[in-house]
Amino acid sequence: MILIKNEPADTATLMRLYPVNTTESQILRILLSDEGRHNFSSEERLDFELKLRSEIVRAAEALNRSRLAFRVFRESFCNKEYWDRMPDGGFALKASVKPSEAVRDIYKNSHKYGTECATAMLIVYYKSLLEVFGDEAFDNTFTRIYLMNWYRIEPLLREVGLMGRADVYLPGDRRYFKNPDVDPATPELQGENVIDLGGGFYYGHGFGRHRAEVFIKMLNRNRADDADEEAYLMDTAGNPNYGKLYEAYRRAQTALERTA
Amino acid sequence: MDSNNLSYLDSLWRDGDTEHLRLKFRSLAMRDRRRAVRLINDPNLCFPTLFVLMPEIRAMGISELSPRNYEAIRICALKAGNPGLNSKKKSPFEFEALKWMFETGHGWDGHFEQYDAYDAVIDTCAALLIKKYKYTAILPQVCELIFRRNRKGLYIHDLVWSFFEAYEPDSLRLVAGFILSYEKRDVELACKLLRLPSCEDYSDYGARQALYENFISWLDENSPFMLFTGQHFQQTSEPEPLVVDDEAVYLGKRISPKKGEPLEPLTQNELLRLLDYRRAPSDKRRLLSSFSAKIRSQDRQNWQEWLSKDLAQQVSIAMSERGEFA
Repeated sequence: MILIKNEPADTATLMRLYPVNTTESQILRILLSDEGRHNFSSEERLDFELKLRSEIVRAAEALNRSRLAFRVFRESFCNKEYWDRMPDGGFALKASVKPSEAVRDIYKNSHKYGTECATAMLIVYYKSLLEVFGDEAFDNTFTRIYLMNWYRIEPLLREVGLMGRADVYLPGDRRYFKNPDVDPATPELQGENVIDLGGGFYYGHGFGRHRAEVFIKMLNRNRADDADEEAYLMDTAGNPNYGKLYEAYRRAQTALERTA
Repeated sequence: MDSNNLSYLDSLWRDGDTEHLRLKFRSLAMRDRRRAVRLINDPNLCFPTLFVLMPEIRAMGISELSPRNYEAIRICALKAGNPGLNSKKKSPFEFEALKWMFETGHGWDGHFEQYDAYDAVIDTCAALLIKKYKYTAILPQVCELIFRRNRKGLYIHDLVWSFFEAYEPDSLRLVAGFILSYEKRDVELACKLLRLPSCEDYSDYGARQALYENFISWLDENSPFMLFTGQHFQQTSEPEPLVVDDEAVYLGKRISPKKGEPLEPLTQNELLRLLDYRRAPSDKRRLLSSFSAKIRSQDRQNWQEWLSKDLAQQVSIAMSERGEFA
């Protein structure tokens, strides 16, 4: 059930706003049919989350089609025109470049980049935020980007690093396939960070776009000799704080309007 | 490296740089191959020297290697993605080779073009020794290496993962020791790994000492009831590698830190107590666990008597001890 300011939303009107077969309408249908109460402060706030989730899915699909290579952090590489490769294998935005251009370059010149699955998730989040915010607002908001894993995340995106139980799973969620008995020689395969693409598909960097069974099968192939536990999809999800990002978006838009 | 027992090749390196060692070894092997083989197979050789000389060994076609060296080179090739034939074949010398590689190699902080590759090999040694061979004697060195690398901003996550995969609650004492470090980065990392609040004022040594002591006494009290969760930085930004199992605390039963199962089977009475406990609301469960731990540490006989009572009576006693009424 969807609530707007604690009042049940007008379902028919909402459904008319989003064409069928879009990620937005798919999410709406899941939320409307769920027994839990999904409360939004306004229709605009709901629309923002639907758009951002939809862009997350789109950015993940595009990254899957790109030539971004899979490399462990020690062998990661990036386009030095836009990013500095740091000693821990992460990529730090160069001070002299526009954040929007640097993020777009990962998609445009994807063959110049190689990294692990967690970094790919952060790339997906920044690309989706870029599409929703627009270049100027994005450049003003996300000035210090560091792409690595969940260890170092800027405050606005802090929550994407946290995983929690969810009442309902939605396209755009970050999920995790865990491989508890991984071969110790390949710790990078101890699990796989994925984006829920909807329709039972997930994107994980290095693995591609597949159903859950395929991820489990691939991770199971990299288990220790004495393994007794299979890989599995954890019943948790990670998400940005959509409310916080919506407020940042509004502030950025207001600032742009003032300067226009 | 132990300077008293330094092998000839190690001493060559100590006197010069990496390139000097390579040149010396190459010219020696060309002049007297048998001697070069004997020197590389010296039992006192340290792993970093073998690692640095691997390109020369390969280029000169030296194949008369000791089983230890043969294994070490195989493990390096496996990590470098050039496994060759029989890479997964079990070797009777693997454990000894790994132990030698890690023990003589973890302290080396070389600066040369293959630094990342070297660290990756050391991380693999740690992971295989801990996970495959359950050899946890290296945990103090692994912990020290994690913090040393962290000070330099280097990659630590695979080592952290191996460290927690040892499933040894007591190993947390090693991490806790860094709360008292004079390096700010050590303190921050220790707090992050132990899920402790960061010290707001790092310069307040007294506050850090109190944090350390509180943690150690908490660990003393709870280590038999701890469960490793398998959470890691690859999965979440705030991993909680260990949790205290409230059921185990309530029953006072040690559990396996890996699986969470009691190390001894539950008695019929304990099983009944546990079923009742699970049916209780979460606030009552918390109350029962903390009260159980408290009176167990004070008076074991009193605790056993309390535990043998039915759940309603247990709750009532626990609440009245807290000055509340059931």
